Amino acid sequence: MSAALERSKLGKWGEDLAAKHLASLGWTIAERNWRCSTGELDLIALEPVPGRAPNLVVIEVKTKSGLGFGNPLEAITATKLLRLRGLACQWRRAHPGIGEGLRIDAIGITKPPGFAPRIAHVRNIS
Amino acid sequence: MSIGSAWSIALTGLEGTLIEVEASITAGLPRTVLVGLPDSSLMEAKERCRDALYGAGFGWPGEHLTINLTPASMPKAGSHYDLAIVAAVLAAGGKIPREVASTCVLMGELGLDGRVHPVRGVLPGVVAAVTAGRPKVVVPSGQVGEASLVEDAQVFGVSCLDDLIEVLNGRLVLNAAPVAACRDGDDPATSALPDMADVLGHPDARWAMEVAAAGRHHVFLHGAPGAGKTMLAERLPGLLPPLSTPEALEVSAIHSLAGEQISGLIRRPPFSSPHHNATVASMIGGGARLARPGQISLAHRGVLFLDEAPQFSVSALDALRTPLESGWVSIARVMGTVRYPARFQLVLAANPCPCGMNATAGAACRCFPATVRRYNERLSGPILDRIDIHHQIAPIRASLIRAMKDAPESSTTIAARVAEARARALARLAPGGFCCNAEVPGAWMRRELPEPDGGLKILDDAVQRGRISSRGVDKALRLAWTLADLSAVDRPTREHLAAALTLNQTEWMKTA
Repeated sequence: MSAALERSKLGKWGEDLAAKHLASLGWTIAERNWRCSTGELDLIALEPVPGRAPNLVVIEVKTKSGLGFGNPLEAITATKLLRLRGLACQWRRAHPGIGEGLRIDAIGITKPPGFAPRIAHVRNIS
Repeated sequence: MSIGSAWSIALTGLEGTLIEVEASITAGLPRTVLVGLPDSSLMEAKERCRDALYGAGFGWPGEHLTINLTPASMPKAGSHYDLAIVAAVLAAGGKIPREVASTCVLMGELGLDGRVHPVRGVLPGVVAAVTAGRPKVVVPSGQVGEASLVEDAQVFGVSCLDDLIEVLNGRLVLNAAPVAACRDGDDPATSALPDMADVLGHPDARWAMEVAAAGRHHVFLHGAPGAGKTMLAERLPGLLPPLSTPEALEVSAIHSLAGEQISGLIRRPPFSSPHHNATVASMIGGGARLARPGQISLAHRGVLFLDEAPQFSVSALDALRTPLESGWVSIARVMGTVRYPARFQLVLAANPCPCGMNATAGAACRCFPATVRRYNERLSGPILDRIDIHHQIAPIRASLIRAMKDAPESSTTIAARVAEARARALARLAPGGFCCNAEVPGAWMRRELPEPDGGLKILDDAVQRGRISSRGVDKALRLAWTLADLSAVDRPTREHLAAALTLNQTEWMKTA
């Protein structure tokens, strides 16, 4: 149980870090950890666009402690992406009138123990 | 976006096409896409390459990676693209200088631990690379000898991924060909060849084999079980002259494609003796997507021996007809048509009937006449028609063995006579582009070569009496020329023609 707890704590920490990172870029966080019957969206944010309404962006955050091999974003498979699209559409239907369009981004965070975290932001992954 | 490229070879039969392997890294989720019509063994290359690169500490690009094999419309198969894929990926990631990778042609399969494994078809692949003007080739270290057989090739042998990275970093270490010494020497296997000295008695059969070797004539050996048919056939390759360098390259390339380990040029004419349950695909070449060479191509420039010939399936035997005529076989498959050379010398052996005792003096045959007939009918007329020498081997008598005081001649002695006869034939046939009597078309022979000494009366008589057909005339003439070559005279005499007629007549014709 403790390993699972460790993992969920790391995930939560990564999502906090991603939210802070987006806020520092001037984005507004619309909602965090939105749940419905089919799953969960990590972050929903609005990306400011000069001269018009902000872009609506759904962000999937993946965090790895860096002990294992591989890129955290490799965990986003084609199936997962399909589910993310479904969830994003559901959120959109539930919240009409917020932001422009609908985009899915991914943020990968690598945090090897004793080192500063590395953040990789990939836009428009769908 | 960053792009890297390297080269490899796609083999269609013996013909190789240069394939450019491009890798491009673009922003996006980490994902690897392999395009350019790969088959499933090639599709798995990305897993092997990825793990091998992680093992070597280079990692795999964390972005969207597209690997493209051009020309993209050509289907590609095999595991030998691994090295080129790794080189292109490393170049795209800026881990190695791009210039070196884009000038090398790489062939080799990677293990998950980064070791480089040998692959099929290195020899024809390197030939294609050098012909296309890219002499720098990287091959698995165990196959450096094979690759170095190609003139002008600059061969780099790599045994693991670290070696490859050294080469790609421009720290080039050319491998001196370790087999250079035995390259022009003969196959070490020569001494292991069975020798004619082991064959006791059978002076007529030994002579028939000598004539067959001198003119590359196809032979049909008929006789009771245990008479020595197999023994004689196995000794035929030992009588044949060694292959010339272009022939040896061609033969070695076919054997490399079939997955054999090639250490030096194959100088000995190959010998292939498929079992009689062989399928058509195994005889002429086959395989699901792109056909591999079959027994007739493995016997190219050598001997194809079909023991118990009537036991072969009729379709497998009849599949030999076109290659016997053309010296080539074309096989069409989903991924394309391949053409393999198949100029082989056919040796058939058969018992006279299922029990084997028919027409054997002093033995009683237990078969019904109809059974004997059905047995012999399994060999179709068109196949038998292409056989120049029909020879009946009589069982040897113990007294005969005792009577022979001199040791039988060895293969080396006979081979020397055969080589002389071949040289005479070559001098005569070179203007027509042929190398031995069996290859010469009848029309050319009648037009370009002088008439036999004493005229053609003996052949005319045979035709008149219906003993031979017009094709039979050509066969007898070809044989007569071989006999003349063996007796070192300028043109065949009446005796040569008479002997030729005896050699090429089937048994029932002789008794009729």
